[in-house]
Amino acid sequence: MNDIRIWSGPSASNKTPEPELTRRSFLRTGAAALGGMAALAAALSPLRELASEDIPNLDQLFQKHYKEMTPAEMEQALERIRAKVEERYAVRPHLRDVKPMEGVEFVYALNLSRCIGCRKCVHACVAENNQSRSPEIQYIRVIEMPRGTLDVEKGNHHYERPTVPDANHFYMPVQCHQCANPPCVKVCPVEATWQEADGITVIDYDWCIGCRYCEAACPYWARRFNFARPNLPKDQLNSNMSYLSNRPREKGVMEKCHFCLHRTREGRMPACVEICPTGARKFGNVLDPKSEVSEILKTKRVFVLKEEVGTLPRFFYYFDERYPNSLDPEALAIADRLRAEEGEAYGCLPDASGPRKDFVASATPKWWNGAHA
Amino acid sequence: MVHPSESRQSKSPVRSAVAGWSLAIGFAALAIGLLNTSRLASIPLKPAVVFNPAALVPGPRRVAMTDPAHLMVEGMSENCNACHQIFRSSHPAGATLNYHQDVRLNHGLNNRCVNCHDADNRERLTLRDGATVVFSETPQLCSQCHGTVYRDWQRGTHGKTMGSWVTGSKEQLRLNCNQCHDPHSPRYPAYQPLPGPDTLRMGDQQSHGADEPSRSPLQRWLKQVGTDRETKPTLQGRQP
Repeated sequence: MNDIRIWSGPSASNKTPEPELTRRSFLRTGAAALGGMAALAAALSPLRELASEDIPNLDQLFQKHYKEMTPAEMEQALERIRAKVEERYAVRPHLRDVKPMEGVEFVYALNLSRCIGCRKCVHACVAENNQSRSPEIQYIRVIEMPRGTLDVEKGNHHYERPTVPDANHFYMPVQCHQCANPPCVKVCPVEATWQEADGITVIDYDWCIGCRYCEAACPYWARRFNFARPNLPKDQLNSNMSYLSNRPREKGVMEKCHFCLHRTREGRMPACVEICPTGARKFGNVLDPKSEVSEILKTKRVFVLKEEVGTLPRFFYYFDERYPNSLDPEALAIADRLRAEEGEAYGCLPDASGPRKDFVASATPKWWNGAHA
Repeated sequence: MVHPSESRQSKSPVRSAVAGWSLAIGFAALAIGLLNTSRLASIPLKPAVVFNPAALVPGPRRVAMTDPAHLMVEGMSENCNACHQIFRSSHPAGATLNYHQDVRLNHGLNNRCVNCHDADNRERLTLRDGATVVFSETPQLCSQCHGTVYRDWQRGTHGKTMGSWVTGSKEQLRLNCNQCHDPHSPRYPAYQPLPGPDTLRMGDQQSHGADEPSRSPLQRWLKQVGTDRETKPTLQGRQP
């Protein structure tokens, strides 16, 4: 039994004496504690560089989620934001919370035959939505694509040319597609982003924790992160703003295109549609059968980007039937070349040298009378 | 029964002194090390892009001729007929103009003034059947040749709509043909593109040729190891 040691509580019989606090041990322990605190303070010292503006105040800290706020609480939040904007930009903003309209579902359509790649939409969007100028945040990317393919990986959005359009390319602007099945909403761990009744996916910038999961989930690279405090010159602030759209953001939150909801929910056009010099951008209510977007969906050959990922975008691309521009000899030459190459690849179209050698007579369609042979 | 503190008694005072002092020295070294590390890295900001703000003023692309038709002549607004009743110009194909020097006629086979302008009343446009229309009714004139585009324009699938997306609202403004296209040279002019994005993600932005598809580091690496994307079969199936 002696080799089994069981703790049976303190007993007066074998009580150990308290370790004596000697001068030596006191110095030792004190030095270790002091060193530990110094190390902790040193490790925390970068906090001194945190700007006071980036620290939320108590009101902001205890603000409820957008969907849980009562009208009075919302008004309180709006007033807090108004005061902050006024303090930072010296402008009293026209800030409100615009709700979706009844019986409206927004859809966007973009005519790839008409887009010339001038990037006016990109910068009109930046000006409208109070994005950071430097570091730069832009919601729209205009991709210059070689003619004859829709493979986005062959595109280039850094094109710099003296003039656009270039005859060998077409231009495909990409922005938030306001998906009906949005992956960004699914991955948000705090429900800071959600889809509204009119189809616009919005972000509560006061609720976002900046984890950037949504940025990774988006197949269209539509979401942007504020790595630094947005840098916006005072005189360039757009004072027409709403809670869920273009009010100034803070450092560390996500943002993205919201179809200019502070404009569109009041019947106006988004800034990118308004500025487009060619009318390539079309916007409207898909529930209205007479709207322009409904007409496009009915009469044009539309497609969506990355259909296979199942996001069900509300952003449609289309081409006009007229191709190529019959007045442009360069474009005509390219079209001829593409047609010839296609004919060669599929073996179904004759070229100048006659039918292909592997063209089997039995496979010749009835209408083929050998006129080109 | 043995008290657990029994084992503590076996620890020598020398060992505990060494442990205590090394802990203190270690913490002190850590503090010095942390204080000596560089401050929060600040990323140098590039200046924001600059461009002419006039590029962002929304509105019709050009000022179309309005009704009643008039022209500014030496600072005075004059009716067309004020001159054209005196000067009866001839109408050869591709006429060189003595007066309307700003007109550059580049409209394909449609190269006679009187194909569109009424020969007798220069404040009207003429249709194929001899009827005349005012300048604000240009679509009717253009539709005689550009039927498919006119059909699209009527539906709203061609052309620019401004102001409001609400169908038929008072704020909605549908632009006419000649508010975007110059009727004398209807092809869209080339635009100078506004500055491109400044993204780190796409890698080297300096060396890009017109036909190089991408400059991302990954693609460059793929090229180095010989997996050239260009040799992969594409949607057109052009590879033999």
